[in-house]
Amino acid sequence: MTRLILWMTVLTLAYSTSVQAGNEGAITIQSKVFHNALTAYAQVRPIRLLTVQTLVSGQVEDLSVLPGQHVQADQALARLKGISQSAQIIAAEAAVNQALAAFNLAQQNYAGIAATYPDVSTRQQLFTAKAAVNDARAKLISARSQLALIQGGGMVRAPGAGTVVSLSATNGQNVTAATPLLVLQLDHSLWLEAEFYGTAKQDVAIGMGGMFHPADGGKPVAVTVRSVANQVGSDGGLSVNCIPVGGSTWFSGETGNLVLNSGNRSWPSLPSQALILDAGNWWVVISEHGHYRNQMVTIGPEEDGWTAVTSGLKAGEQVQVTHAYRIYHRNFAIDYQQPD
Amino acid sequence: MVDILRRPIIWLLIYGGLLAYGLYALLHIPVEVLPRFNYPQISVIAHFSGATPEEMETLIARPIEGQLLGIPNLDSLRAVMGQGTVQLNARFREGSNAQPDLQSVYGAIDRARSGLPPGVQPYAEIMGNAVNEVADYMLQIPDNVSPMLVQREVETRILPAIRALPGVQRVLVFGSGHESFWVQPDPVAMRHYGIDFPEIAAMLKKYVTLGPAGYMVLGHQDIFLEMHALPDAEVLSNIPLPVKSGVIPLRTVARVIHGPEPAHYTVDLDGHSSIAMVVFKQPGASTMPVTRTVANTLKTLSGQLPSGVHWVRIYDQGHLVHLIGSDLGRNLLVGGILAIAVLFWLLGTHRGVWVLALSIPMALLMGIAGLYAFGQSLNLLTLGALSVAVGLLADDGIIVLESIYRRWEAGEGVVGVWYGLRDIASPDISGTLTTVSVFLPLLFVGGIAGLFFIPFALAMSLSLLASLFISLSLIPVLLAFMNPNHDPSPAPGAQFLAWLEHWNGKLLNTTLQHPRKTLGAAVFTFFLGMAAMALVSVNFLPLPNEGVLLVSFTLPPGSSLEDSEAAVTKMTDELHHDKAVDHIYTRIGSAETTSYSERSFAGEMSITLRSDIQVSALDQIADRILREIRQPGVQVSIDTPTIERVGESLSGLPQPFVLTVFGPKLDELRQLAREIVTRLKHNGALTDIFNNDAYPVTQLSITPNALALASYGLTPVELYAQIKPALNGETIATIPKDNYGIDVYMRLADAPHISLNALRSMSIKTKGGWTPLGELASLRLVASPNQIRHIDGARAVDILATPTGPLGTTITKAHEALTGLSVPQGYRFSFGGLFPQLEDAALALGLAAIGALVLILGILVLQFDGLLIPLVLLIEMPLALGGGALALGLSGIGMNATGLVGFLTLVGVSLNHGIVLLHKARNAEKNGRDCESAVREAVSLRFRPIVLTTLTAVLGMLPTALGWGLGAQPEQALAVVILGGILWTSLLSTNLIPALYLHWNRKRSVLNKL
Repeated sequence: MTRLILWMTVLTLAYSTSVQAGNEGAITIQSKVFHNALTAYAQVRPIRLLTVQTLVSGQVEDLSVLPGQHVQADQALARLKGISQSAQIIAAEAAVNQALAAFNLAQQNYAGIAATYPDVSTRQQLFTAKAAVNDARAKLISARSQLALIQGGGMVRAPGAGTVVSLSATNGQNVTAATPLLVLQLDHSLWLEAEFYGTAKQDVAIGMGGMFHPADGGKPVAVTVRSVANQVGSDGGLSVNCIPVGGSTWFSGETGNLVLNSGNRSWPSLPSQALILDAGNWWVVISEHGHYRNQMVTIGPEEDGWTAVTSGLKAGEQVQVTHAYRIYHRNFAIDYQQPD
Repeated sequence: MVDILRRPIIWLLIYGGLLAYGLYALLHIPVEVLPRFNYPQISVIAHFSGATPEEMETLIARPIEGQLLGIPNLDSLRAVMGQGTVQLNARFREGSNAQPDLQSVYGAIDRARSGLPPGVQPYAEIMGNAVNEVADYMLQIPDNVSPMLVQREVETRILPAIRALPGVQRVLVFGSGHESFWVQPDPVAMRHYGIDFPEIAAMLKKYVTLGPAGYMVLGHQDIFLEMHALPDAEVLSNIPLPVKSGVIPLRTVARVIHGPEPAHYTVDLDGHSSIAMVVFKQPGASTMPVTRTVANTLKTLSGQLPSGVHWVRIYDQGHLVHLIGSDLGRNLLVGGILAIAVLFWLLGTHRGVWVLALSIPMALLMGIAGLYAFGQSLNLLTLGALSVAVGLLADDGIIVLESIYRRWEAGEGVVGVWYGLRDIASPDISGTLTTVSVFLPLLFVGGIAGLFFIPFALAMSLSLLASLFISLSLIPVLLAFMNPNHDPSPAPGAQFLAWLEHWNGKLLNTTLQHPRKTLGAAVFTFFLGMAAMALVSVNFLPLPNEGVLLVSFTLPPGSSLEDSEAAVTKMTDELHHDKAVDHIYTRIGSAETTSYSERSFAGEMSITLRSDIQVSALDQIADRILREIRQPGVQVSIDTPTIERVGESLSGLPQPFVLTVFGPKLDELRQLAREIVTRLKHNGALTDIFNNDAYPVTQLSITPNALALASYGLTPVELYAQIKPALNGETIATIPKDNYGIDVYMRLADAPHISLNALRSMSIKTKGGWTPLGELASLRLVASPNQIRHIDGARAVDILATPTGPLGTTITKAHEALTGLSVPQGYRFSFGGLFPQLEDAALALGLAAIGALVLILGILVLQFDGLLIPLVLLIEMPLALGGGALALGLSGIGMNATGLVGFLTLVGVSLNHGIVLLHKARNAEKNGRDCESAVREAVSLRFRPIVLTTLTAVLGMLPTALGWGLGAQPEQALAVVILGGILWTSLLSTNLIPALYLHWNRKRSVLNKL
């Protein structure tokens, strides 16, 4: 009995040692919050006089501000009467639905063309379809903005704190969509202009916060998105303007990178050095019970030396970090002979 | 006829001339490690940093191949393109001269040069040039000294002096990136000011100029005008750049630093950055004078180096040559003295013995003169042959002297010289020619076998022929001038000789009574010897302790330079704890100015051992080092530098067995190759199947969207013009300064570490403004081959393997395995490799052996006018091998290439005693003696010279056989085989051979009577 216990102890120690030896340099996959960041080149520019326009038709009422008056951000400036909320909401919702349907259709069309490229469809068709998606997206943004206005009771609000320069409409005036209401000189005479491209465009929204990192290495400035262009520019970029949160010492012409936080998401993550690129795919080495197994993964964003894994791994798995690359290729001598 | 022997003027002229030429040859013959590789194969290497294999194929390989394929006498052209490197091997027809072939290759390169990318410098060399790398030096640089500045000092002050030394072919200096003013633009600032990379480059070019501006005549003088604008970093930083808003200094958008250009290789000494200097000697130049003058020059110029910087010698081939030369030379001298001493001991101190003693160095000198005349050098093979031949050179002289002495003892006086010579000339010539016959066919063996066998065969043949000539001319000539009355007192060794003769007489009696049993015992000894050979270790070419070991390492193809550095750092950290290690020099990747071909995932590590490590073989140390540095994912191999360079010299040759798949498209080629490998692995005909080309690497493919570019008003060339300087770097101009040049180089500071997302967001200047690269092109990670191979210009994949049986069977089985394989249109496969050549070489050697046998038989038949004696003597040939094999087995020394040659030598040497003995017996029979008494008389008469030649041969090669001196180690097996074989054949010649002759002669007589 004593001998049996002794043997079992020895075997257990050997097993645990072998497991420990195999797990040396490995970590357990854990979930980590990644801050989805949108980055664009940005430059500080003087703010132009901002013309506040109506987005829908109606009759102006409660236009209570006067030239020279200071207003706060989001302060109600006027109301558009005659908006039959329910009817216009329905119409605006219908417009949104229509824009959404058009957007979905454009996306499906693009996917179909991409699937048959280059065998059937041409590059021109592909590019045209992509442009159509961008256009449909911009229209959808515009339709949603209109709906928001109507849902807000037709209230026209100040985009930022500033001083009323002049009025372009009066109470009781019937106005159509895009009619100027007043001209505003915003308090912050400088704001940040940036252009976003690619898929980042659809994620940018008014109110989103972020940081401006000056190119000269100056102190980063916290900012918030104050306006987003209705449609993309001719170069495919969406213009976005931001103002600082609190005070700032930035100056006109200062350039740098704008990083907006578009939301957090939690992913299984691992140190970036554990990732191995092989033949165009990403891999990791899973360490289990003293053995190694190569596993293909799909990676997501990277932050502070950690990379999110969107597929191929689950929390709790042990992944080799130290010497991961060489362990992954531990058997390469079978397939590759040293020249000479 | 005696008169001709007594014409001193003629012989003085003849031998004076020979002696003078011999001394001249001795002073001028090159001394190197191995014979010159004059194999007609030329290697061309070209580097192009940052290029993928496909780019190397299109931009460099194809233009050069196009010109090379038109060269006359070209047999085949193979090319391998990897990341940043291409190597082409042009093999010319057998018998072609390598030097003119090299010139033809350089002519082809010159014709292709205009089509190559700027800055690409292909370098061509004859295969085998790697073995001419004779010295490696490293610089120990303090941390506060810039390696770039040190490299500049070496290149400008020391390199020219080394290059000018006689015997130096090429000198490489590398370790730091080229000195430059590195312009590092800030992309954000560039965008802000609206200026892109090509615009910055164009402005930079405008600020560097140096050129003639004509001349004026002033004051009766032609005054030449020179205009130069050669800015420094400060001036470059302030270059005005026109932008939309005005003019800004360059420093607003870029940082200019004075530093080395980034390099994709590293060189370290003991873990610190260093500069390496590698010296190649001219092929055929003597090694030691070159290495000595290089060392002296470096010492003289050490004051030119910055303070605290000094040279560390890593490798010196002169050390090995000195070791081999001095040890073998000493053994030669000692062996010669011992041989001469035994002559005096057994023959006495008569002046004739002095003449005999003179023949040994004379024959050696004439042998060296012959080697020099044939363009050979003194190297491991020829010196080894000479160190063995020293024991055999006295053979001819001894039997001539003996024959003349017999005549003098019979009172014939001066005439006895001629008659004694006449008696022995025929068997003397036959004996030497049978020995030389073994080597003569080897002189016509071509290919790789010829590279090693020809020098050895030449050295043996020439020295033996020289000794024959001396024995037939100088010895009788000098004896003709001497007093024929020699000292009647017995020689000091006479008693020993008598004792030996007594015991041999007893043995002979037994043998004569039982010839067949004796033959059986000899055959048994032969098989015993062969069994002993099965137990000895084999090492093709062991070299003595050079004091350095060379580790070659490879990480998986495509591994980053950083990963390679991490692996190497781990290895060097382990090695620094080893007490035998002194310095460690590592090189990862290859500098563009060198002919190395390793990419950034491979390299070499030279480990110098402490000077107190005096073991003869480094095997144990090498095994220990391999254990210390082994780690997963890193392939390592270890050897001495000279062996490694021999391997590099032969590396242009194909592998033993190769299945080549041809086809136009890489993906389909790889797919087909994978299928073939799978099928072959299940077939038992082949093992160790490798398809190196299949090991994939990852590439980032940037494919411009033509329509997107068109909408932004950009062409693909314009897009590339913005990407290339940002990521790959570009040399804009070179600023000449004193006797060196500083590049103006532009690249983003940390381009290799840019992320994929950052690359997609990289701003590209377009007509509309600035657009991210991701909008203009697709960026995809794709798998691609780590190398592309061409054979005669066609794309191919080589599958390497080792056959498990004869070639014919292997190919048949391989065909069976591939039956049913679907091969697309335009694709094919074929079998090849070195194996057919190895089989041809084996066949050639076999035919050479048969040729030698036929030649020997012919000589013997002519000598003895019949078949009985030749057949009796031929029995001795294989039996002699048994003695050599047994000696090698008992000694515990391993078998190697020189040992193999020793067996070959034994075959020829074994017949000498038997020829002379049976010649004597035959003559006695012709004079009326009966067979048995003729045989006994012949044995009695020939015993002393046989003992003399055996003892001189044995003592002559005894120091080498004992392994005396580290430099003699490679020849030890050779000496042991011949020593054992000669002792054994002496015993056979004085017992078995006469017994067999008597036995069969009697049988023949009986048959004739019937």
